[in-house]
Amino acid sequence: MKKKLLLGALAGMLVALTACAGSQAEHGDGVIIMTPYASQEQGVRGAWPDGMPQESFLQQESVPLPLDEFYPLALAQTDLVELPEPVGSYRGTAFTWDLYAFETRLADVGPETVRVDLAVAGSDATTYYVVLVTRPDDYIANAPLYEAAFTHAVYALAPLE
Amino acid sequence: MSEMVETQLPGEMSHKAARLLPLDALRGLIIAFMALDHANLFIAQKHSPGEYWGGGFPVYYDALAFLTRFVTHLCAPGFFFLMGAGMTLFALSRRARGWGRWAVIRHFLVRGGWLIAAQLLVVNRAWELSPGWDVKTYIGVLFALGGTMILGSLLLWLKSRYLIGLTVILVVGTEWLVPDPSLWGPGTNPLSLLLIVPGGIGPGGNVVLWSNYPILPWLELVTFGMAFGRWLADNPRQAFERSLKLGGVFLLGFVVIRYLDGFGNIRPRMGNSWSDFLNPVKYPPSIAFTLLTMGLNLIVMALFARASEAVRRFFQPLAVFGRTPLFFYILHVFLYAGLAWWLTPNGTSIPAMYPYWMLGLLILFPLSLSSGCFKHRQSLHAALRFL
Repeated sequence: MKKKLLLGALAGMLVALTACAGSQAEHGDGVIIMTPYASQEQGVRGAWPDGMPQESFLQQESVPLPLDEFYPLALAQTDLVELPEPVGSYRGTAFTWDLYAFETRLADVGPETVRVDLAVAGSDATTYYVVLVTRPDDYIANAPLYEAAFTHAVYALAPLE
Repeated sequence: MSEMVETQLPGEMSHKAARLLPLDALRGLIIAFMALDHANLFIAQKHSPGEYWGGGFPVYYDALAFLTRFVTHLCAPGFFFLMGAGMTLFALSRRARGWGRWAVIRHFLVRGGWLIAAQLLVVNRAWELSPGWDVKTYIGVLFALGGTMILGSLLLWLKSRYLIGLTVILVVGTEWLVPDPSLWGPGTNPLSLLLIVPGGIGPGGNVVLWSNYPILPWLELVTFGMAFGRWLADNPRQAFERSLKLGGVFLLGFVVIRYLDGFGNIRPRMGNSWSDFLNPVKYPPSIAFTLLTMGLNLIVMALFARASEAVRRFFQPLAVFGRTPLFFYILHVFLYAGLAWWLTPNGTSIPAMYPYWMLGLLILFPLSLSSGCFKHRQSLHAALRFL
């Protein structure tokens, strides 16, 4: 009898819990798909995130410039007078990347302040970079998503062999 | 599912005494995990696509999302392994009762055929209810369990060392036969999809055939299970001790192969976080995937075997699920599809999905209990015992 009562109470609790769990979809959690690609034009291979929010963009490229020429060009796109110190480094498949994170207004984007995550690595006369641009509020709301997309893109970007 | 071979020791032991509780409990545990995976698919609508030898690969952006998927990786390898073990024990049991070899083989041919039919005619109807499903014919786990059961029945009389040798050949062969990930795309050869390489074929985005479980890559786990079944029949205590040691060796092997990130992984890791490390290619099972999941399965099974009588009472409910796997499988996919259609048509967050998963188990428990009792009242030749 006690056993049945206990089971009944457990079942009731579970049904109530299920009802309370609600059916509101939350699309800000779960999984993101990284799709490998290779670009002969850029001479790189890497992985693209599918399903990034429209308000943000991720760019990953190689440019035929040494690092010391790349930085002034990158800085010119911002309203900063100098690039902040790196917030850390990250070891990917081909490079150890310097990571930067800052807020700025970008020349190509418009007057509103955006959050920029930038990873930079150099090899001889070529600089490789991955940049993630988001609205600051959006970044805070979806930080895990951006970290997954950005860090995995940084990890995978490498010169074509 | 077809892991659905009863676990019986040969000889004159009663049904109840003959059952090997650790095997049934492990099967029950992975059945519960499988239900979680399918609740994630139907209820939350957050099941990860990908995990193939090529194409997009899932990365997870929180620990819960990853762990919800990770625990369910134990399911498929565990099912194939336990089916192999069960096939050996079943064969020895029936031989002891006077069945001829051909009668045993014929039994598994029919049973394997039933599993394939269940996949194509019944279970695929449930998958069609999942969001975004656009596959005409799906080759899923029941198909591969049926196919490997049919092939495995022809290998039942091999000695353990030959079964282990065949297992190694299949494990390494899978790694070699899988194309380079850069060749990922629509396939053209249906036979290859059924036997070797997961993927799909179909013109213009219409997927005519999609195969997650080609037969040969999963046969390795059946042959390994069949060898383990022989060890169990010889000396259960020693077999479970061996499973604990083998589990440890497998996990060590996984760490080495994963760290090196070369042969045995099918494709390189997508990142260098802990979740990337623990997220190997499943379709087809890479060596890293097999070592990780079977290492854990073997250790859990050995721990079940070591448990005291008092502790064993707590995992009896798992064994209830484990004794009626095909019945549970068919019912649970329709149950979770139905719950999703009724209560969560737009999906839920992953934490909110968990109570629904538990509710499904609660509904299925008494049904599995009744089904198990009914099944064991049937004669040895009754088709209903296939459940």
